[in-house]
Amino acid sequence: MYTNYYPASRLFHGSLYVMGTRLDALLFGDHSVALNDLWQQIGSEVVRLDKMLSRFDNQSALYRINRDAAFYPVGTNNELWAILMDCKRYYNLTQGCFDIALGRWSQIIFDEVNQTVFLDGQGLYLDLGGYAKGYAVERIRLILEQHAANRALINFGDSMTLALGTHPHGNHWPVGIDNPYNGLRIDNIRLCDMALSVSGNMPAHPAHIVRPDTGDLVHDKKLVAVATHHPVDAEVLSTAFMAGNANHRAEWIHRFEIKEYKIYNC
Amino acid sequence: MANDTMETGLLNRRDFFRNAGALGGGSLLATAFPWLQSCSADEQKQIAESDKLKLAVIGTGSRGQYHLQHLRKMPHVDVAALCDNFEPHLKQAAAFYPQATCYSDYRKVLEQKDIAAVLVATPLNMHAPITIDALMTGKHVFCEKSMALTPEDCLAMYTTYKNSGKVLYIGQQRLFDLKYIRAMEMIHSGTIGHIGGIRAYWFRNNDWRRPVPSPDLERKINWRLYKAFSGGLMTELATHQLQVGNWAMQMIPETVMGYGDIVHWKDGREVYDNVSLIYRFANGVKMTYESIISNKFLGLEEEILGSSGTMEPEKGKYYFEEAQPAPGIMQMINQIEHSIFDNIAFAGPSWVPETATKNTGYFIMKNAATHSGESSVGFADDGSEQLLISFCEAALTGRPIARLVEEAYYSSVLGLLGIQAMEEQRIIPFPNEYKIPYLNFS
Repeated sequence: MYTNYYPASRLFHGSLYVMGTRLDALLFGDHSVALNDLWQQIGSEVVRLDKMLSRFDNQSALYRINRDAAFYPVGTNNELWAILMDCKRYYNLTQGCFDIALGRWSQIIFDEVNQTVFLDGQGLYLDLGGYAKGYAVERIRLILEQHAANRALINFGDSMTLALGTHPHGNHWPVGIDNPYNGLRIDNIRLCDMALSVSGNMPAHPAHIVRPDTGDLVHDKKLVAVATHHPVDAEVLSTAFMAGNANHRAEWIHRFEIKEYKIYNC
Repeated sequence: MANDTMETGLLNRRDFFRNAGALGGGSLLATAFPWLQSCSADEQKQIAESDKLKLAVIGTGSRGQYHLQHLRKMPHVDVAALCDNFEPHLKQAAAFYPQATCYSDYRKVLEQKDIAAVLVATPLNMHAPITIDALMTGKHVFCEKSMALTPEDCLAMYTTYKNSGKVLYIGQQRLFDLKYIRAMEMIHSGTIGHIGGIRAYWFRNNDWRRPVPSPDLERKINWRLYKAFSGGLMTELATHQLQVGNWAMQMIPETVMGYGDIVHWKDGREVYDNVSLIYRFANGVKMTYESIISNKFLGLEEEILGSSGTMEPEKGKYYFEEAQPAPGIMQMINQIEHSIFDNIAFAGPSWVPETATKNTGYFIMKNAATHSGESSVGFADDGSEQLLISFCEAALTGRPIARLVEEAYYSSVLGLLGIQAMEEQRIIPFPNEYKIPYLNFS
């Protein structure tokens, strides 16, 4: 964990490796100790979520589902159950383009009475990679609200940004997006009390999003940026926009409160 | 053509400050780096309206000629006189400045009433006498580093400077090197945490000799190798890096110990070719200094070791210990610190660590000039040109610049105390009689 406080700017910076990427937070205030406490609370919360939602941590609740749920229904705690039900809602709203079973959603058997999950098929597993950062940032937003922190910038692995209030020297938070294929700027987004999620392919990861109708990987050289008030919506939709088509997008505009979305061909 | 040159010169200066401003603008720049403050509007008017600065260059060897190349681009400077007591060097310089009057005795230069400023690039033993004489005859002085061959002479130069009211610059060009300025800003704002140690070194693999036309010129040409003229590695190389350490620490070390030997180049030289020293600050932090000129693998660096990161300003890079914040976020913090509101790119597809253990660091700034440290003369964009431009402007306005001489004074004296420690093989405390009011010695 890295922290630094810049008194002249009343700026606290915290950085942490978590969920397989890095989390950066810019917080503002006169009391560095209080800001450090706030940052510690944020860090603890995200580490807690990582321990529940990671597919790679053999102590996590999700790991247990992926390991055991093909053999018997695995129980979940209330929070994980709520998350899975939320994923179900998003699966339906995105017409299957957001799918934590990577195209095999129909093989997940939910028992809503006992809050258990059964995975009906070999090699089937759940991946919350397109959801967890959005959920974590939503939790961070709540913590910030509780502390009346109305100016902050959260950057989670570059792909998820939460901007509360404005840049100290401007009327919004300016966020540039570079083309990962040539390093050139492709857009500048203005955020104010808004979450931004960016999904897409890049040279190091040319294909990692599954098209649910065909099960094929999306190979397009493109980026999607979605800005909404709700971090989870932004996170889910940026992935869905990568997988969906024009008809899907036309429909989702009515189903979600999207502040702005853009698709960039790189 | 003259107009073009003038425009280029002034533009370069403006660009430099704009870049410096982007790095560290506003009040932060003014208070932390007073020597980077651009001239006030009144002073700029004064420079524009004043006659050209009549400058004499005393010492036209390799370093003097390096400065002369830069001076050719400065429209507000008239190199009116050249001086060297080694005729071949004087002729080489005069070829570029046919209009300049040539002298072999610096005292004759100082007698010229129209000469307002002198640039001293002689062997080290002559820095003090020429600088002191020049200041006392009312000239502004740019003197190459180190200041002088003895602490007494350094102090005499400093005292004369303070009493003269004239401008004195010492050639510590890292003070004008943008990557150093940015690195120091980051260090002083806590980016790498608390400094726990500094490891400075300069390694080369050559004999440090120049070709000598006849044996009687050996000491004149290869003055760096003889104690009557030079302190060797400590005065010619270490002073640059000791200054960086002090700058980072914002403190002057209180003691020094070390060993120096002639290990490889046993060719009759008197100065060490192999030195290893420890400078200790009052808070217990140590700055180690090593210079070996029979192996160049490690090059040169001042590794500034913080509790959260490491700065390598010579390479223009820094590294974090554990968590590595997003570079875009670091840029945004820098802008916020300098009241700049601009778009920074940090949004994109999910960032994943390339490997768990790889730590390739970040660049202090884009397109920073770096070098291997092999040249004995100078390097492009290492701050030397900006240092000289700044001196010429200060000489035209007559306004001495805060902290510059003090930075150079302490790095010079520390280098000399290092030599004393190695020669006497004992721990040398910083002598009270050589403390001038600055930082922890105020």
